[in-house]
Amino acid sequence: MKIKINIGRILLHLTLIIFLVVNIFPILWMLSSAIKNPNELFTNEIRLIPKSPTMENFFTVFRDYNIANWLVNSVATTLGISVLQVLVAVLAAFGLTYYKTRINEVIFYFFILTMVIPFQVTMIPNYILMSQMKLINTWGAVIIPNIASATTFFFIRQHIRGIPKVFYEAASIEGANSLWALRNVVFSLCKGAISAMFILCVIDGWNLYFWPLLVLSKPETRTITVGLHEFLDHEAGNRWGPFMATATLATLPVIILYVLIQRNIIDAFISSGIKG
Amino acid sequence: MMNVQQRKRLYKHGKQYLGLLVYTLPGILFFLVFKYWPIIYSFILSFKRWNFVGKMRSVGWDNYASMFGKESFTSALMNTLYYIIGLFPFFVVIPLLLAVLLSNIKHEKVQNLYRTMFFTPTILAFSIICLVWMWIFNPSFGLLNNLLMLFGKEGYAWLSEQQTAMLSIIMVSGWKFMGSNMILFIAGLVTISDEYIEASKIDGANGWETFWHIKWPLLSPTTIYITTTSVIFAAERAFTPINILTNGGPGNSTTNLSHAIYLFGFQYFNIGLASATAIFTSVLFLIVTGIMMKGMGGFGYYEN
Repeated sequence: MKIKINIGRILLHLTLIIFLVVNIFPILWMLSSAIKNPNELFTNEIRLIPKSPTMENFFTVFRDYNIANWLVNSVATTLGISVLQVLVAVLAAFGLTYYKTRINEVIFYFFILTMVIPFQVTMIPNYILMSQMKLINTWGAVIIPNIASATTFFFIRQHIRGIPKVFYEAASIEGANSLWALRNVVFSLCKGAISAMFILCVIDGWNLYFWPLLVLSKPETRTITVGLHEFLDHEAGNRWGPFMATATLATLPVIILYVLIQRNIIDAFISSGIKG
Repeated sequence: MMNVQQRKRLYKHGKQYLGLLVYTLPGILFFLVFKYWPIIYSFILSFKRWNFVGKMRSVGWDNYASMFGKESFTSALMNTLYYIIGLFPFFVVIPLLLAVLLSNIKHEKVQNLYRTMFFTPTILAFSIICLVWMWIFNPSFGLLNNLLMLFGKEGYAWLSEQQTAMLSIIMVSGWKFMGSNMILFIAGLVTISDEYIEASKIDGANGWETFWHIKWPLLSPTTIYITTTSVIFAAERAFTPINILTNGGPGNSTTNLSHAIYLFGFQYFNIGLASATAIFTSVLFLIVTGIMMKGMGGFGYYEN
C-alpha cells in the first residue's frame, strides 16, 4: 500500500515537472541566448549555459538602438495608464457605494457593459480621435484611450463594496465629508486591493503591443515592446543576439516584480483576469 | 408650497445625486468618449467608403455585402473557428489536468512553488514571447528543429509552411495561457466543498468517477468562462502572435478576424470594410458573452 502511494506521488511530480520544463524553458532560452556570442548562437548544438558568456549584445543594444528612449517611453506610458486607470476606477466605485440614488445601477452597468466591446471596434475611431487631437506619436495617444477599463473598475468596486457601513456612518456622525471617507476609509481599508490592481495595470501597460504599434510610428517615440520590431530585418536577417538582450531587459523588471509579490498578483488575477 | 420636510428630503436627494455624479463623472466621460462613441462611429463608418484622407462617401450596405465575397474575410472567419478548436486542448484540457494534479499536492509550499512557476508566462509581454518563439522556430538554428535533429528527424520551416504555420501560433498561444487557465481551474476546484468529495468516496467512487460526476459539473462556471475567453482570444487577441509570427501568411492561412480588420484598415486603408468587419466581430462577441452570462448567472450586481 505504502509503495503504491509513493509511485503515484512520483508519477504526479514527474508529469508536473515535464510540463513545467516546457513552461519555463523558453524563458531560460531567452536569457541564455542574450549572453551567447554569435558563434554559439547560430549552431545546431543545444546548450543552455553558454561556453563563453558575453555581455556584447547588451553593449550593442545601447550603442546602436534607441533603447534608452524606448524604456523611458514604456515607463511613462505604463505609469500614466496605471495611475489614471486606477484613480478613475476608485473614484467611480467609491461614488457608487457612498451615495444611494435610483441611477446607481444604470451607471454601474454603463461601466460594466463595456467589457464586451472588442478592442478592434474602438481601434479605428480612437485612432481618428487621437490624430484629430494631434496626439499621434506622443505618450498621450497611448495613455488616454486606455484609461477606461471595465475590469479595473469591477475589481475595485467589488472590494469597496465589501467595506461595512459602520465605517461611513462614523464619518458622517463626525460631520466629515465624502473626501474624508475616501481618504480614511477607502484608501486605508482597500490599500491591498488597490495596489494589487495597480500592479496588474502596470504589467498590462508594460506589455501593451497592438495600440502603441498603431499610434507610435516614429522610431524615437516607440515603447520597448514595439521597438523590438527593429531587430527584425527580412533582407539582412534578424539580429537575434541584440534582440534577446533587449527582450531580457524588457522582461526582467516584470519578473522581479513578480518574484517579490507573486501571491498578490495571482490572487488579483483570479478575481479580475489579466486583460492580455 | 413645499413644507420643510419635503424640502429637506429634496435637498438630501439632490445632494446624493450631485455627489454620485461628481465622483463618477471622470469615468463616465472616458467610457463615453473612448468606448461608447467608437461603437457608434464604427457603425456609421461601416456604411461609408473612406481611406482616412479623401472624401467620405455613403455606400449603404455595400461593405457588409462585399465582405462575405472577400477571400481575406472568409478565410479569417474560418481560421477563427480553427483557432477555437485548436486552442481547446491548450486552454481547457491540459490546464484542467494540471489543476487536478496540482490540487492533489497537499504540501502548501510545494504547491505554491508549482503555481508560481506555471503562472510565469502569463505576466510576460506576449509580443516578446512571440519573438522569442520565432527564434525557437527558426528553420536553421532554432531550438525546435535542433531538438528534432537530435532524434534524427528533419526540421520544418515552421512559420512559412501552410501545414505548420497555424499550429505554431496555437502552440505559442497555448504555452502563454496554459498556466493562467490552470490557476483559474485551481481556484474553481478550491470552492468545491470537501463534503461532496467525501460523500462520493463513501459511496465507493474512484478518483475518475469523483472527477467526472462531482468536480467537472461543479467546475462548469470556470469552464464556461475559460471557453468564452478562448473564443474571444481566437477572434481578437491572437492578433499579436499572428502579426508577429506569420503576418497572416502563407496566403491567408493564419489570419483571424482582428488581423483582417487591421489589414483592411491600416494596410489597405479601406475604413468602411474594416469597420463592417469590426461590427460583425462585435455582434459575434455579444452573442458569445451573452451565452456565457446565461451560463454563469450575470455580473453579480446586488444592491445591498
